[in-house]
Amino acid sequence: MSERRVYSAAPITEAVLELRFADAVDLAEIEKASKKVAARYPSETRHQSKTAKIDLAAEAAEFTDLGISVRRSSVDESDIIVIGPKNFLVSRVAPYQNWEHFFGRISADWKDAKKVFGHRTIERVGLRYINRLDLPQVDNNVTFEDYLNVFVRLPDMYPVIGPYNLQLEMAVKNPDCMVTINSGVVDPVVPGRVSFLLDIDVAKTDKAPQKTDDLFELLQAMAVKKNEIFESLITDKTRALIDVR
Amino acid sequence: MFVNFDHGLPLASVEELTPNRPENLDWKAVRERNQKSATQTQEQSLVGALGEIKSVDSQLFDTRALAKRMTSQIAMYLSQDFRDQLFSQIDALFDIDNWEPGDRLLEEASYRTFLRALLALNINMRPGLGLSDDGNLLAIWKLPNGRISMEFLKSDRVRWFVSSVAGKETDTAAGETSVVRLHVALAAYDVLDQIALG
Repeated sequence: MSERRVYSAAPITEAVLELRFADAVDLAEIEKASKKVAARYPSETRHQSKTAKIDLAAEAAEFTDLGISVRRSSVDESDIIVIGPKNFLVSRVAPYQNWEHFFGRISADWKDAKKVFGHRTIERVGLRYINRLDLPQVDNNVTFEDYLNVFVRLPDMYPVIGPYNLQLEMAVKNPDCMVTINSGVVDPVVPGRVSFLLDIDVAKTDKAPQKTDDLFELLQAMAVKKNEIFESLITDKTRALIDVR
Repeated sequence: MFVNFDHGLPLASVEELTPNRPENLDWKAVRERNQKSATQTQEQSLVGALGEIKSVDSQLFDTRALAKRMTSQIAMYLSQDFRDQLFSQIDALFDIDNWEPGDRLLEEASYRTFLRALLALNINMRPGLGLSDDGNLLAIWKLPNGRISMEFLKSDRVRWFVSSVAGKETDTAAGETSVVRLHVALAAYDVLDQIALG
């Protein structure tokens, strides 16, 4: 296991655990599970999801109801849980503390929900970390290759490029998962800096674990893998940038 | 290879100044796609809160939640203490017991400017907060020898007012500038170090 680094100004804007179910949970169960976690997430909102197919030629639209999700959040809006008909999502927005804290929430929330749900076939386990790196500019330019090991490379005849967006998928081992990486330029948040996305989604769909102990073991391994990937995609210059507070 | 941007300008200006930008690409769409929240990307869906007519209490709740969610975007640059105190002030400012009929809710663009000003000036001193008739956030810092107040407008604009006491004299100055030029505008007055140190 590689050494885990903890940064004082971790660039994680959102960490998300998502479980997707094979079959839909009904609203009564969602509400019951929501009540179970209410003490940790006092604020509640409900969301109705629909998909729409619009046929422009026929000037007709067809709507499909995806059901109601309950979103609960902590008073400071940093800790969020979304319980939907076919998914269970635990999220933490910045400031991110550490994996132990996040996993502690996942563990407690899933155990509470499971008491209501009973057995549900899990189709997909996803652990996603959205990072935003605020890179400094020099003379209105950012040499992003100094900070990132994943970026768009163009022939020398294009010395300066504009905003870009890239996505790549790859299979990894230990654990056997699919990894999706999104990177690119996002709206600048810090004056004088340019913000780059580094979004790492580690997911398992093939033989997703069904027992809670197996699920938690997988999540621990996914977290380690996510850290390895993140460290491989940044440079020491970035490490210095996010470890300064 | 570089990505070229103008210094901290709003996005519309960035687009204008970015060279080699293919005309057939929608860069705003690229950035929006890049920065979708994880909770928004699982389905191609239309999601809306249930119930269309919201009570004042509900609107105030939404405002508090919005401010906190926006603050989370820069939370890695704030101390825990500053963030906690800021959230307490937000809760008090948008509390139903302090709300008068006809009061305007917080303008999202104003709060964005406020957050960017916190970072631009490295502010660590907690301000007193208020709201203008237009829904713009107002901040005031009381200093040993005077005070500074700011109104945060949309599009990174800031209206500021400084007063300082020297002996029996009180000097005042006021102006309007952008977030990125705020430190230049205020450099002549002995306030930046004070609000940065906290």
